Amino acid sequence: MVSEKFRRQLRQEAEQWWHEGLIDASAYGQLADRYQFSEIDSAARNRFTAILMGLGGILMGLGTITFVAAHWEDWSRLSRLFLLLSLFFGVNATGFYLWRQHTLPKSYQNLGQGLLLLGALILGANMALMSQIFHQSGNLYELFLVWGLGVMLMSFSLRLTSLGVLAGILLQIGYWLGFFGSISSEGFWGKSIIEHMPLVVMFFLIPLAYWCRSRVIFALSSIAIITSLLANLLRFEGWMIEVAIGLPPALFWTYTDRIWKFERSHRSPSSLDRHFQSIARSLSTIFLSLVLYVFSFNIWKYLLLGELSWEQWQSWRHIWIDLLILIALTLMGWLQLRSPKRRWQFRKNRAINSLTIAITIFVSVSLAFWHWHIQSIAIVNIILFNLMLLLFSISLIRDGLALGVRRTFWGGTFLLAIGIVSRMLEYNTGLLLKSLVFVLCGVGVMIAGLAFEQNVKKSQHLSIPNSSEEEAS
Amino acid sequence: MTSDIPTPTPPYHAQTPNPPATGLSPWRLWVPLLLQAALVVAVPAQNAYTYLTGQRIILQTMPIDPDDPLQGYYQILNYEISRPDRLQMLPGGKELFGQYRTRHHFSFYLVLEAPILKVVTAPMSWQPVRVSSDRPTDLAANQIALKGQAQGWRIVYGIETYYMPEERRDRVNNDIIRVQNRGNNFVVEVRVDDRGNAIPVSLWVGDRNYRF
Repeated sequence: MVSEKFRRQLRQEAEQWWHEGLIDASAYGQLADRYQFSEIDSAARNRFTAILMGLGGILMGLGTITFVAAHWEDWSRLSRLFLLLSLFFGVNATGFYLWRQHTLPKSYQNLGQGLLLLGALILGANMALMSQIFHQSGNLYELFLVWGLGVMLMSFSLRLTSLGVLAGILLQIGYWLGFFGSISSEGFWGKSIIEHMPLVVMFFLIPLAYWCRSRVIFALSSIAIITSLLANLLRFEGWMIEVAIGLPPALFWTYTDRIWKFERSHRSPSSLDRHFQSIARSLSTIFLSLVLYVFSFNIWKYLLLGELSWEQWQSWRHIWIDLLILIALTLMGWLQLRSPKRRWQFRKNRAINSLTIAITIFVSVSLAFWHWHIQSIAIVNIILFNLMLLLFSISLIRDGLALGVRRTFWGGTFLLAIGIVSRMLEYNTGLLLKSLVFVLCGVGVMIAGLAFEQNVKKSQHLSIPNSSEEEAS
Repeated sequence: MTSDIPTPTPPYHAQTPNPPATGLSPWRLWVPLLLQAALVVAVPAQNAYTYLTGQRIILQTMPIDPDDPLQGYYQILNYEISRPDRLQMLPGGKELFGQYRTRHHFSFYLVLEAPILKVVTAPMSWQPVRVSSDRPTDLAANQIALKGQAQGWRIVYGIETYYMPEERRDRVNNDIIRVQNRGNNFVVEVRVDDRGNAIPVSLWVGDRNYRF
């Protein structure tokens, strides 16, 4: 599938070529035929209606949920339940049949999608009403988890991205409600889902991203895996902090669907894998930047290992299952880098490549381990982490410049500037020096930006930009 | 990363729209829809069982602070048996709820006994007799075991929320405060099943019964 942006540009260019006499009407007609110029505007219009329909569906769903919460007195609970269940079946069925009717105009299909989204929200309203009828107290997070799983089921069956995104959001709301709420000690399935959220996301939502071919679901799932893994690890009063620092970036840097191989679509499968890899690597880079930035502060001597009681440890011991699976996947991913097929990823012409990432992770984890378990080396750690932050940001800038990738370049510049400014504010330096550094930083950023844009322009003159480069960071 | 592989121009796009839905067979909708409906029914399955098979008991609530009016559309019920210091005084309470308790998150069973006195106008509350960490098997005919959870210093029995219509809230609230000022009782009717699970059924404010 050719991107719409490219088709739009091509149409503009082709019209100009035609006017300038470079191509004749028949050539233009062939191009218009091949790239379906006539459908560009209607596609945009359709997308707009789809967004409106989805928004309408969500608003109506919220209305339904509020209706349940309002606890309308004039109706008995059973009649409200009957009403909501019939609404649930009716809305879903209408949505489905409108959505799959291809003889109807496109806007009806969009309406169908909107109704399916509304149906997913009515599911939640039904669950809330049922729990209200029996005066169930508490454990709102369980309701969100069940709701999310139900919506995910429908999303799998219909292969609908919007429902997949909704399912991911509901599961995450459930996770954080459960994480911060007090979870009872035993016997609740909800606790197991909270404990194993990284695995739940990995085995359900990531395949859903492939099934729906959706980058949005993939990005959402990856963020969910990282954040839930971090949150679960930080429960251990600092005893798992080395894993929390090292595992997420190592896992996502070598992401490939050869490990999670579920479906290979007939439509350019490698392109999908590459897009997902690019997202995974971006997340890995961002995570590592954050780690370097946070630990470059003078916080080492204040970060102490807490006391982990036997009860706490017992209560969360099942995290070992998650850790074993994730570490195994990480090792498999890194071992795959040795295969000739993936040798190209071991790029020598990039400063941020697999080797530098591996070294950064290894050094960070070792320093943290040494500090907390062998001997306190706060000063050494501060210096080394600052050094790594500096090198990492310069490498990002260098890669951005060399490859003409705007996002990488500005990410690196931002990291460098914020690193310098943080050190300035953290340590008691004179006002004059502070002002000098601020000015130098500002000037540096401006000069770098101008140089970058010049560079990009130059390279644009030389070759047509390749949008997949833009993706890679 | 990806950029050194010669990618075809024009660029290929991963975010393809959802595949065409034509020809999707109806079971793709109805199977998950019925499973979702099953989930809706499963949410209160346990409570429905308790409601149908459970025994009716009465529990004493704690006085409500008149300055803290009911929030939202439900009443938070605080019971006398929700206080750890009250449970601590019962036989078996010291080990579970005492000062030197070893566990903070656990489940337990509270044995309650039916009142001896009967009042005609309003029901009398059941009295706590003892606590244990295992389900008691030697209950007398006038006793029942209620399952509870200790969550730190909080104690919950799953009967702490009572939903009521927004419009009636103020009336019920005023009634409760009036009755408590007069020294009368505000108790809750609860059903407890054979496994100790409970659900609240109705409120008794003085001699008036509210059921929503």
